[in-house]
Amino acid sequence: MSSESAVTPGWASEEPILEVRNLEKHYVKSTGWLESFFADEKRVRAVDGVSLSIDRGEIFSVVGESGCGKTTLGKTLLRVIEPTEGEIRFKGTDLSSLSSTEMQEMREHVQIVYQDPFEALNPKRTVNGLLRQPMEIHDITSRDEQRERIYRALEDVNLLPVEDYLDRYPEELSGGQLQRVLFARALVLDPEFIVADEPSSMLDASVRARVLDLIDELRNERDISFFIITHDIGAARYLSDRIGVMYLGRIVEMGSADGIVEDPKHPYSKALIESIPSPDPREPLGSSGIGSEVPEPVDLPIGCRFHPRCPAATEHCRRADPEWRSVPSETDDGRMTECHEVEPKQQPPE
Amino acid sequence: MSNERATGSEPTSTAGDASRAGTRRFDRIRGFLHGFLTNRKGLAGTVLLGTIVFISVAAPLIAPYDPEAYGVGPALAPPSVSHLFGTDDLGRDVLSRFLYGGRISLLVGVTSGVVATIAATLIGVPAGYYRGRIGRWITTAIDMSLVFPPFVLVVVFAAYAGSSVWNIILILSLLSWPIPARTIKAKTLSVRENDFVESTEALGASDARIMRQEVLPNILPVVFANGILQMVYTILMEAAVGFLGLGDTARISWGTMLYFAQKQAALSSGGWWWMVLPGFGIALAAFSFILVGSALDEVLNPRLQRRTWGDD
Amino acid sequence: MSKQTHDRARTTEETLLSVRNLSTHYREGEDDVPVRAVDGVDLEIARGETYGLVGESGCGKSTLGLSLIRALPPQGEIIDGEIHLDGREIGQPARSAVKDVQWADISMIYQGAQNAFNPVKTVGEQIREPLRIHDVVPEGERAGHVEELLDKVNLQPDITDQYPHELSGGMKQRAAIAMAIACEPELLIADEPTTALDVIVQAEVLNMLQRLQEELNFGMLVISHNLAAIMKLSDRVGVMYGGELVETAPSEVLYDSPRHPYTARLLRSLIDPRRPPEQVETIEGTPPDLRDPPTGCRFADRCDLATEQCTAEAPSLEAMSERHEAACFHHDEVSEL
Repeated sequence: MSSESAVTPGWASEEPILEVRNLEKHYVKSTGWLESFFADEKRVRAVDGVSLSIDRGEIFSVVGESGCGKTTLGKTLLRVIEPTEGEIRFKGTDLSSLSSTEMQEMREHVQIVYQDPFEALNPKRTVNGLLRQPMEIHDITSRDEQRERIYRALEDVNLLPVEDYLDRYPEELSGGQLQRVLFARALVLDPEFIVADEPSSMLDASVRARVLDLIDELRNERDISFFIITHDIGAARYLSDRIGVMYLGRIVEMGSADGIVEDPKHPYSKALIESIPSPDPREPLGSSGIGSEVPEPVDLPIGCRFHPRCPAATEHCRRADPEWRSVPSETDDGRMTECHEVEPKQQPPE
Repeated sequence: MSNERATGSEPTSTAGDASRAGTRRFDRIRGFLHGFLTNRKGLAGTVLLGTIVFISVAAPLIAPYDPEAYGVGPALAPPSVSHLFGTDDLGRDVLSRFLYGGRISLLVGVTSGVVATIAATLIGVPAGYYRGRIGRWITTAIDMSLVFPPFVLVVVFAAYAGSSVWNIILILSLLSWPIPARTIKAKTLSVRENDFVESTEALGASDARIMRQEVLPNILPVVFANGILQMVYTILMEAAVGFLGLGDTARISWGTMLYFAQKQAALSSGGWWWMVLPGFGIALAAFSFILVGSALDEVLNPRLQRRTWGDD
Repeated sequence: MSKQTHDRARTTEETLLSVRNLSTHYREGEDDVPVRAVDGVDLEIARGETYGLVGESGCGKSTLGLSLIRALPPQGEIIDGEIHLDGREIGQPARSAVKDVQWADISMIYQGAQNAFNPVKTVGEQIREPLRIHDVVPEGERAGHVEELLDKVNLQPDITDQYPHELSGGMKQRAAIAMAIACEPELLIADEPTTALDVIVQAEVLNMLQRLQEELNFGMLVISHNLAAIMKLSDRVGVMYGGELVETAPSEVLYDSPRHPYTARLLRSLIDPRRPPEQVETIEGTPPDLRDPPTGCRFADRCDLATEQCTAEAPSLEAMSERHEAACFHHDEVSEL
């Protein structure tokens, strides 16, 4: 726990823990050197102007198809990938202005939990070694302190009894167990903010809930805020307070988790939610009503970036960029979206 | 190799204490040794290499004559009971010289192989790890070192700096690091792509720490296998340098034995026995290193990495 | 629900595939204890029927599929059982005989089919391959036939000249389907056809499989861990646990009244985003070690209903109602779980 939050819990919940403005991450698509003489370089706009803020203790999920830039966004938030443009404020500090050494120090407070636990853990280290490493990096060298934090973290992720796991190598653990080791590794530094990339997607249904509940517990007990990247809208709704729907590098709709699923406004959100099969075999298979090919974010269309796939697109959509604006929703969840066809919220009369 | 599988093997024992980590590491080493020695190439290579090392080390005890003593037998005597492999033009016992000669050949080969491998690791790892300008510079340096014709350089260096054993070791080390450095760089590039490297970066680890703790342990198998194969190269190079008379002719090595044999026209004068043993020794040493190296590669880099949950 | 009425009409009682007591083991080395990946499974699929096989990683469902077309990895071996397709025994013959059956009678969409294409051959060449091997279409008409196939899976004919890397994941999956139906097989096995696909593509693939089956009337075995998707697609569903089939029933019956505790728990671990449960369930514990499976019920140590009988003897599949079977001594208590 940071000292501030312990001293002033009252206002702490008011201030966002993380705030980003106009975040952009562009990649230059590599063409041959010969071609680069003759053609303009192609820019892949993986993240193309994202602004959002996450409150302390909030669980925010970003959903979207693969290639929409959600993983890049998550990694850019913590400068694991350097942003091309934009501002990232973590508890008021502008992360993008930190030197690389300062950023390394800052990483004690912000963690990322990778998607594939088989890939994200060094196979040559035991669980104990894996959990001790973050503390060594941040000069927590007292053996007692290390031991205490390792035990607490493993207990929190429910790998019990702890002694059974300490000497194991990753290859000796199952996927679900490794996933929890990944979380424990993030927890030993007592972070305030965690980015979790597809925390449940590699797991079987029977153990998926355990990871989702774990995230919820960590939020409640350790007051950690989460940014969750997922394609599993069911998990996102079950777990999060708010959901952002991402399409081709931009968040196109944002609102409460319940609101987005029950009453999506943006045609893309609608299509996404329509396609999820409900388990009830009597309900017919859903269909998105849109084509399944996601364009690459290289040559973005003029106008709304969704118009080539959009069933509701009009001439206007092909010409003008839609504006990010508040729209009314059934639950009045502070819904924001960018779509010409969704009527904006009426300003309440003065 | 551990036979434990995660599937269904929930931990059962509860007795945990600090010494267990040590035990586990010991288990892994034992598992490796078992795998290595049950590998036919590994076993054959180890036996061969062990024999060569043994006879070289034990040369003073088993050599029938003083290798430097002239006239212990008649000059250029063919193999006989008293001189199993004959004598050379100065009446020295070929077998005794062969046994002693192995010492220099192995010393030069192994030392320069080790030095070159260490250098290759120190240069190859950062070359693969750093993505930007630093990585490109180091890579360019490696590539440029590769284009030097090594043999010409050895000849020139030996001619100028003199051909003491340590000079030969120095020049062989200097010349043989670039190729393994490239291999190590390539392996580093692939290890670097792993999420566990990025996730350690995200924990705030410095580059040096990541190279040391994340990259190095995962490329060690390649480093070892390469180092061993490097010794094949340096042993052959040493022999070649010796054979050309550029080696330290004051000391006996297999290469210099061949040099003198060739110089005194051993073959044309019918003294074939003079060349058989050193030639055989060089080939056998190189062969045994190849066996050990490729066995190491097989045992340390198993192609089938078992996953515990993919599907079925 | 047009799907049910339609399928019921087409699904005849005529048995297409019949698997009896199939056991497939994996063995790493000669002295290794075999992993009993599939252990005595009975299965029947009627012509025109879709049968869904669900279960968690390592339950043996993919091994079962691979056993049917004899495409097991070298460590795997069918050690017992009979497989009949259309009355012909296909379980035991030599591999060469199975080659005749593959593609023409049974074809398979492999798990990760997106990556199953040869990167140096064009998509068209690869789709023509089964046509050429089985010579079902005269050589001159093959190009046209491939175009028809691509049309069936909503792909443009011009992709025949493209290489796999030029296609998106969803397009490759559809091309794999086109290849699988090229020789109009009687049985199509789809192993995890939608895993690793996004929901929009997933919905498209599922709809496509359903439509193609109505058109071509093949029997279909769909293997997946995605219970929601599989219940949508299938007439009947079988649940595998620890190498055994523990319950099988028409999908609606299985959804409404599971009679095996594992099925019940699995259903409650699903999250329907439109009706999220207050608490999603987790099944504590891990699946059994298939090198040394327990003597009794394999689910016993994770089961709330387990009694001494469960650990002592193994339950076998019993009829619950018409076409509904479950292997549990306490099947009456499952509804109270």
